[in-house]
Amino acid sequence: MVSFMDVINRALTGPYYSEKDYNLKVFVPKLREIVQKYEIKSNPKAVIPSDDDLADRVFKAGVELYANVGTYCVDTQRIIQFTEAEIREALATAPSAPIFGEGKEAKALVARKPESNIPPWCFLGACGAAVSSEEIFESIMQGYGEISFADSITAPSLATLNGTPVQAGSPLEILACIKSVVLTRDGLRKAGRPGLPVMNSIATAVSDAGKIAGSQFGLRPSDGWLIGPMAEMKVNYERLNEIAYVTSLGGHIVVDASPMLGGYCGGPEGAAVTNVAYHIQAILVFRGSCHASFPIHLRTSCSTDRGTLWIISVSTQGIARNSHFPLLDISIMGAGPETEMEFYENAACVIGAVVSGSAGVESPGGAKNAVIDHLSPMISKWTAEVAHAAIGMKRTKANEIVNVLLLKYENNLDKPPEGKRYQDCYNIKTLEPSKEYRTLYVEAKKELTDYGLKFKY
Amino acid sequence: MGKEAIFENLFNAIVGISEERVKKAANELVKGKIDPLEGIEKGLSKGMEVIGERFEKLEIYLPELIMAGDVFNSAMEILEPEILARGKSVAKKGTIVIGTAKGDIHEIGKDIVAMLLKTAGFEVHNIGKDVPTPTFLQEAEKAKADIIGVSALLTTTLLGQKNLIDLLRETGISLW
Ligand code: B12
Repeated sequence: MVSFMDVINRALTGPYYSEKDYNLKVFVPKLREIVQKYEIKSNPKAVIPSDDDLADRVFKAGVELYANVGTYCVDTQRIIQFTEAEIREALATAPSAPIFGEGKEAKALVARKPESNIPPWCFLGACGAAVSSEEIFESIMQGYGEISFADSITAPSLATLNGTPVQAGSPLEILACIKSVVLTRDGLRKAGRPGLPVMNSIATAVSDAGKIAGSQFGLRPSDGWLIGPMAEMKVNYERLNEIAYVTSLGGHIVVDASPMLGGYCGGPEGAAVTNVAYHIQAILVFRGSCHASFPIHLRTSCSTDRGTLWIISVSTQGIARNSHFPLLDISIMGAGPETEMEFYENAACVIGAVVSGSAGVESPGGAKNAVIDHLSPMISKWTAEVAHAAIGMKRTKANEIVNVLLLKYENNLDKPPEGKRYQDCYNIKTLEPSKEYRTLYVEAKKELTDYGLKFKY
Repeated sequence: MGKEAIFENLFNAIVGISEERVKKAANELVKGKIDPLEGIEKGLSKGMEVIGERFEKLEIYLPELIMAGDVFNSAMEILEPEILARGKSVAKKGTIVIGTAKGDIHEIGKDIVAMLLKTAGFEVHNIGKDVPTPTFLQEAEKAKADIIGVSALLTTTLLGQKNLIDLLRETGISLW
């Protein structure tokens, strides 16, 4: 495979374009041409399509797109290009079963096929959403660690240090990154699972310096460093710096990428094809051990509307059928903790991902991950239970269920209920959810059982 | 060609995102000695309103929005000298300095806002991303801005907004 040194060289010597020209003269027209060429068309009723040929066309289109548009480096304003032969080699030799975690928690993350019977990997936690204090951070980490289905953890970001708001890019960010790692490990130790891998490294880190400095205080090569491109198909030196560090350490890189419906990708078709291009970019430029994908809708900033669910399903199917490089799917919900809608939105996304052949699912915070303290272990537990209950389900069945769920919440996506703060729907010392939250959970589980989900307990 | 027809052509060129057509219509307007300010109001801005509504409903996407903004700007390049020649100026709704807070490189939303404000008649100074707090103030003073817009998408960069307000209070500078 093309080496990382080669990638850096190409970032320094590739074709020169202004960022705007790359967006509008390279990426957009090529994507549109390819979407037409491969006759890719979404269908708002078939949110979880069962069309293997469509999935394969989306994959082929993504390969062709990446061979044409490459990755734009914003610092050098040059395109890092790869030939189709180099892309094929990368896909053939990409990691296939990276092992994350330590001791009894060590486990291989493996790719799955659509409708597979293999249990999906459960990457549970905050998805980087922010918490307001060290106390809440540690409490919620313990809560995540206590979820039996958890295969790995996604930690929150820490918004204050000793009560002082942490400003990104300042020395406080470095200190908060260090503290985040310590609290992450402490929380997991309290949960009795110190070996659980943390697969989003340090969400508090906005800068490369924060991520690298914080790493020294308790991250292990068997954890995952979350490093992602910029929308769409771009990278900068900060991220390349992180990649240089983690590859030299022998650590895992988890590449998160978020094609935006309504943005430069255009409609769902373009975003699905771009998601495949991100998959390849994750191998070649980001040197990933796996790809974590979260397509979102430009206006709602969620991944639970019809269009985005289709993007997730069709691109996951295309990738699952044609690549062994593991893909995780993340759901970003509009609704927050202790709302009915949170359960429905999350289930729609998770069911779609699991039957489409995602290697695993990452649980989100809630309230678009954008409202402080609006996260809970409950929804992560739910993600995992739904994921396991959807194992082996047919895509046609999943499509029926997801359509029922969509009708329950899609009209509220413009103004979803924010829900409650963790400390208002949980006892943060005993880690008990409120009675109301528990009731909502029990009812949601019953309802989804009626729809045909086979919960493990 | 009558002025109504020219306004209509300006409108259609924006909605149809055609630089060629907008330039043609703008040149016709200048040749016909029609008030360019009226052309902006009844043609270009109306067209941008429709573009904005379509984008809101995602009937069109970000590339179209940006391209429509570029089409608007290329018409303005033709109309502005004519406005000045008539001893007038484009009625400005205000001057705004806009950027993304220090530490934050999210800019898609900020750029959309900047573009829409510009086509809605504001003088916009888009000072980019990862902008230190004092720079907002300095740029605002330079531009004699009425408004400063600080975009921040991260919890840890929201502080950039508060910091700017604090700095404005501290320095006694009042923009609004
Ligand atoms: C795209 C994106 C990125 C891209 C940005 C690309 C770019 N060139 O802008 C990239 C990949 C670089 C990125 C990086 C990161 N991101 Co980001 N990103 C997003 C995402 C998915 C969408 C943002 C977006 O563009 N939306 C579309 C636009 C149209 O909407 P908008 O920005 O909200 O803008 C609208 C309004 O807010 C408003 N508006 C915006 N600015 C202004 C200014 C003024 C003056 C006014 C009046 C209005 C206004 O008008 C706009 C039009 O409607 C959000 C998810 C989300 N839920 O929003 C995460 C999100 C904001 N990112 C997040 C994070 C954590 C990060 C990283 C720290 C990840 C990491 N660990 O590396 C880095 C930080 C990098 C940095 N230094 O800033 C988190 C923030 C969590 C939090 N609460 O702090 C979010 C919520 C994702 C998540 N985890 O769920 N991100």
